[in-house]
Amino acid sequence: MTPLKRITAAIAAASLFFLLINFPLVTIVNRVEFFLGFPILYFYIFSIWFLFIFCIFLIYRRYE
Amino acid sequence: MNSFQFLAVFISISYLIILFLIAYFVEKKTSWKEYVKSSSTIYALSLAIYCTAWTFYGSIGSASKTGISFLPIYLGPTIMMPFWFLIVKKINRIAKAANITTFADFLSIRYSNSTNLGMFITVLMIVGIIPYISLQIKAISESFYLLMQINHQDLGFISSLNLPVIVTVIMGIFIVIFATQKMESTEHHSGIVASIAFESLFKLLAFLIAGIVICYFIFSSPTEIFQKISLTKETSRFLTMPTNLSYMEWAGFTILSGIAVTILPRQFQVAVIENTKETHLKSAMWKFPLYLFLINLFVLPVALGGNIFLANFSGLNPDYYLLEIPLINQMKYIGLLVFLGGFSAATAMIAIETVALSNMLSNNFIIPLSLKFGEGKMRDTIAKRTLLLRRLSVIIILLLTLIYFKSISPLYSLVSIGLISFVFIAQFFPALLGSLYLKQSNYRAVFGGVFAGFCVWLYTLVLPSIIEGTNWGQEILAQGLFGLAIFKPNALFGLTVFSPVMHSFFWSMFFNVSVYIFLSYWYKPSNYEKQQAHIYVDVFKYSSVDESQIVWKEFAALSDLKSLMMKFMGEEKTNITLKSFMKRFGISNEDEMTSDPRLIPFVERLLSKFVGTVSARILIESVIKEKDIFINEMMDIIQESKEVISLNRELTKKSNELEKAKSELEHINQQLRLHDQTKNEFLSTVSHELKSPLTSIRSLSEILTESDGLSEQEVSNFSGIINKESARITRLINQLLDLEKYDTGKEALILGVVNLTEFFEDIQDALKAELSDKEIELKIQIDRKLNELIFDRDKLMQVFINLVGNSIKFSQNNTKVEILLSKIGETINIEIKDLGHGIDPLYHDLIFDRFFQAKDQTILKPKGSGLGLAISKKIVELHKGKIYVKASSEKGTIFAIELPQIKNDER
Repeated sequence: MTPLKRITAAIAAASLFFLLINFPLVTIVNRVEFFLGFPILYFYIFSIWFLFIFCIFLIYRRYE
Repeated sequence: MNSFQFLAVFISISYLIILFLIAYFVEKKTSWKEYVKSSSTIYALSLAIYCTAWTFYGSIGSASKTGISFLPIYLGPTIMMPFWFLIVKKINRIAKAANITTFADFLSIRYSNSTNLGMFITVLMIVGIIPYISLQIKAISESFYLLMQINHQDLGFISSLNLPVIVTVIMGIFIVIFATQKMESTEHHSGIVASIAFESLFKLLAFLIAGIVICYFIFSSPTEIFQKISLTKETSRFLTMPTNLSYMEWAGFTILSGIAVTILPRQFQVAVIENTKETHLKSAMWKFPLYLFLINLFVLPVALGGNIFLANFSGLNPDYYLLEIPLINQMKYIGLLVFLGGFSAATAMIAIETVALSNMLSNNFIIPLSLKFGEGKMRDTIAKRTLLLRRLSVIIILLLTLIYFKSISPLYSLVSIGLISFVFIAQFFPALLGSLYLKQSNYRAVFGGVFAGFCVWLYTLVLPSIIEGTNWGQEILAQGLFGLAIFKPNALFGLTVFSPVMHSFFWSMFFNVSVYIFLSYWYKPSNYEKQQAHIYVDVFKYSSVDESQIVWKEFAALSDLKSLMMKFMGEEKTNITLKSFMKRFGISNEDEMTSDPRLIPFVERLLSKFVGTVSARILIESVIKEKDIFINEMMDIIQESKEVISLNRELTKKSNELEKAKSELEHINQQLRLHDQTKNEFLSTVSHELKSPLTSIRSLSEILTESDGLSEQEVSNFSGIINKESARITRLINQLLDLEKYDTGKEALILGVVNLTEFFEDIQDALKAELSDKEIELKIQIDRKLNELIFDRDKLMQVFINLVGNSIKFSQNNTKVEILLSKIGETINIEIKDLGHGIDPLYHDLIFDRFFQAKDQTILKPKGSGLGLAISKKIVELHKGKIYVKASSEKGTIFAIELPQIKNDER
């Protein structure tokens, strides 16, 4: 990937992340409900958060 | 003092010693230093300075009240990272090229009036950030007393210690030792970076260990905590987005913290000033968010676990759940670990924030001010005093922190100060972005935008907190300024949907950005700003911004510059540096170096390493003899080059003209030579033509006079020949005289109206003898429309007799010669056709030259003088017409004459 493609991909991922954890999508999980014993909102946000970090890692891992 | 208290104090002191040792050895050992500089993980860990004691303790306090509402503070930086990368990469390039030492430097070097702007930013920064530093001291001292008071033990002599002062003094010593060692403030403080990376790692581990202990040992698992909480009444408050935090605020805090992570002075210090490699930014894009992710993993379970304990142990402070839960469970060593974690978060923040602010204070405030207003002596001694002033700045910053901590901070909770600072720091973001991406941006716009935002921040966020803390001015909060409801600090212009922080963020940014953009377009950037805009905005176009880009038209004596440099670098290093400068730009001697336009920017850049860009400019200005480029000079230069260009153009034009004239002359010269040659040929021909009849005349007349007894027949025969030859000579001479007249233009036309029928009858008469000799028929066809024409009758008669005569000469017996006369437009076309053996196309032009003799005598035999056609051509040309061979083959020749019709009034 060229540097431009990398940063474009990273920005796209960040934008998607922002959409996923904000209104209106976040209303879907904004309930008192449990998933594997964890509150669903807490579980959802931390999972998405981790996935996003993993995406950035994939995009930029060459620099390790 | 019991053994645990003693141990805790001992370990805390040991921890500080470890920090000192890390910093010391990294500074001392080259291999360690190189490792710190080349490690991207250490860079990412140093960015984790973002997580202060506020994160360490405050997040849990916040989560215990409103669930996950604290998360945007960490989600924001995560989302921001790719944008942060773009911005910081750009800032980095500029900062490295211009030796920028602080955020104030970064903005002030971009704009005119840099000293004022730098001071303005510095003052605001101190006002906005000092409370944040004092917050750290507050966290240290509160957590320390919590740890010491385990099981309500007597504090003993500890209570007599003034802990905040002790911590501040130790931090002050640490900073002075490791951050003000060298005069260059651009120098990487690898020692400090290593120790704060260690602290980041330590606080993360402490938090994770405490989190695991609380979730898995004190409780059986996090799910147990969630389950227990779900049994309480207020479940939804903790497990969903709280009602008091609208979705809009959630997004708003995400953006606010994204901005803060880019621009907070400590972040700027580690991300830009302490950055050693650009590629570190790339891996930091995921390493730093991963850190934030990990440190937040246990916040909610611990906070909720704390709430469960709160039911049994009243008086717990939610901000310190992480410390208190292990302590009430008799896990005092875990408590100690947590304390050290919070301690590391706080000390790291104090260290870097103080370095950043004190650099700003010394380089952008104290040194420029003392240079500006100090006597000339100040300038001479500034080098010696630089380090002292920087240390003084550290002390001032820490002193202000302590004063704030003692007098004001008891009024606030941990979280509120952090967020107040975030909103404050966001005020610089539009100016930062504008400096990087908007060429229109100017000094007034930056000043105006930041000032407007700052005022709104003061009014909507700081003022209400002061009122709440002091009970002073309650009526402003309740009824608005001057009793005007639209000026209520918490509901400006009636806006009530936001929480106070978001309300302030919204309005301050609204006014900040509006004023900034308006002023950006209202005022034009100065020449300096245009030039800097070019460098800042297009920094990636240059591989490096070096001296050649900024060409000041300034002169300074080399000795002055040298002595300025020597004050900071010493004589030896100065000479080495100047030599390397000469080598780099291929300068051979000192005179050449003095006049080199790159020297002054070079020295200035060098000095800014020591005293910052603003002070460096002031120092340079003190030795400069002529001020910098301003518009007039610039215009002069442009004008000069314009003139040179136009002069050049004229010269090119002139030289082209000369070239043309030269080739014309050459052409003429060639023609003259040709004419000369022709003339020579002509003369020889004429002599020959004259000689042959003369020879025969002479020999015949000799015979007549000397020889007796010639018969009468012979005498008359000879005299006939003599007569004929004399006539020939006469004709030849007449023709030559004619030609000469035409050549010199002495011959004028005698125009008259000529009746064509009569004219051609006369021609026929004149040629009667020749025609009947060869039995040739002369056919004349005249256009019916033509009766009369105006021309020189005698001369044209000569032409026709000549041409028709020639035709007859070259025609076979019993053929015909035709004359055709027609009119096309204003032109009279005359054609003379014969059926002779034609003229070689090679000679079609040459036959009109005088005495032309065809080489191929079989085609054209020279009969007559050889001047007839030449004279005919002259006559036709005198009539402004032309004569040429229209067609010729073995079956005949057509001569054509084109004459413009002469009108009556043209005569």
